[in-house]
Amino acid sequence: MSHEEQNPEISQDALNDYGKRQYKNFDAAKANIDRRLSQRYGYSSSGSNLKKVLSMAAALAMLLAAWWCLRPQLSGSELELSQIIAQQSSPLPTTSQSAYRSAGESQSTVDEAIKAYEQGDYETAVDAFESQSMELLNAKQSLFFGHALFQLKRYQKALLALDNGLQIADPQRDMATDRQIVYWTAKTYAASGRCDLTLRTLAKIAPPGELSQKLASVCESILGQP
Amino acid sequence: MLNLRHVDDKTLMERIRKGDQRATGILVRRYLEQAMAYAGRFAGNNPDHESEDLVSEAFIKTIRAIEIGTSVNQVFPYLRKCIYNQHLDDLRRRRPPTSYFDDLGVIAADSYHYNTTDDHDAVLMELILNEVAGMREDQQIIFELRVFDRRDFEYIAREMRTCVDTVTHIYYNVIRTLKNRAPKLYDSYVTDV
Repeated sequence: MSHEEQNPEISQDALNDYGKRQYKNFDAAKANIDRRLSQRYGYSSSGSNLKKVLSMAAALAMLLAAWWCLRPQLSGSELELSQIIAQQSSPLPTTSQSAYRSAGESQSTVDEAIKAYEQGDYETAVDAFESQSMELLNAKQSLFFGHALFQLKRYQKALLALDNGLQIADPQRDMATDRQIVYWTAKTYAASGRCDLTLRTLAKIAPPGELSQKLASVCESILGQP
Repeated sequence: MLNLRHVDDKTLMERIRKGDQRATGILVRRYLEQAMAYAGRFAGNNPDHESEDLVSEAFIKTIRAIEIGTSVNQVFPYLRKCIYNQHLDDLRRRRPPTSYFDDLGVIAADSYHYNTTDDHDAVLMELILNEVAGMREDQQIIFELRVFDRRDFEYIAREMRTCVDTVTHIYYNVIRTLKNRAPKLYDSYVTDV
């Protein structure tokens, strides 16, 4: 075949990709067109925002319901969940000495962080905690770090800090701290609109017995697995 | 309640004809992304804004055609035609002077020979656009990027994620076709008028 008779072709996929790349914000343009047409024809718009709001509302409702159910079982813990909820915008009590590392180079930085945290100065506390390697924090300190990040609405980092609190080997860890960490993890998921993960996390602090089974069955029915 | 998400286009069109708003919503969402990708290829400097108008208008025309019972056999080809026709109208408004058609000099020279109208450029443009409209999509896009947007082959090849040789080849194939067709096109135009 001579050079002139050849007839190369560019694939449809490449052309589609090229078309999509021409937009500065493809999703925003898509939402605008959908909104325009839904207003004209009266169908409900795709409603990604509505879904998010609904999932957040569902997560909060489940959180309150779980708190209401768990309240009697948790009344003996060091800090009741009701107290935590009432103190959403204030620091958690730092009465336990385990919040302070007893020795080491990092002592002053952690002390600074805890002091700022006690005074409700979350930004300074977070700065101080962040200047420290997360692996050097104990469970309680991780809880405070996570809680401070939660207050600053830095949910992704808060989840990392709280997870660190659960994973770290801390000889002084107690059940009450673990429970608070799990509770704040659930709250962080709820605040980020992750209904499924909120439920899963809450199921971890439900005491063994009927309540735990009920919560697990709710999770199972919603998520398809416990 | 029937889950319309999984029904075929024909059923959706019947429901739209009966005034089912939910079916309209499903149809829009089914083809919105494809239509936007198609319109994006032709949008100018402000694709988000221009394409929003282009795609919305195309959907309105298509749904109107379905509602009034015009024969719409397949939704997406109809939608695509609406977008392209609208785009051709935009091109007619944007038309560059004939001197911009460097590679089409022969067509211009040939058609000047038959110049019987006041607006020679408009006729030439119309002939070229009609001819290009019948070509493959990649040929249309490359031709428009080169002639209307004055893009070089390297840019087009980069955008299309292909090699410069392919783009050059496709472009000159289009030019050769247009040059071959020019006298006939102009003849048929003069006869029609």
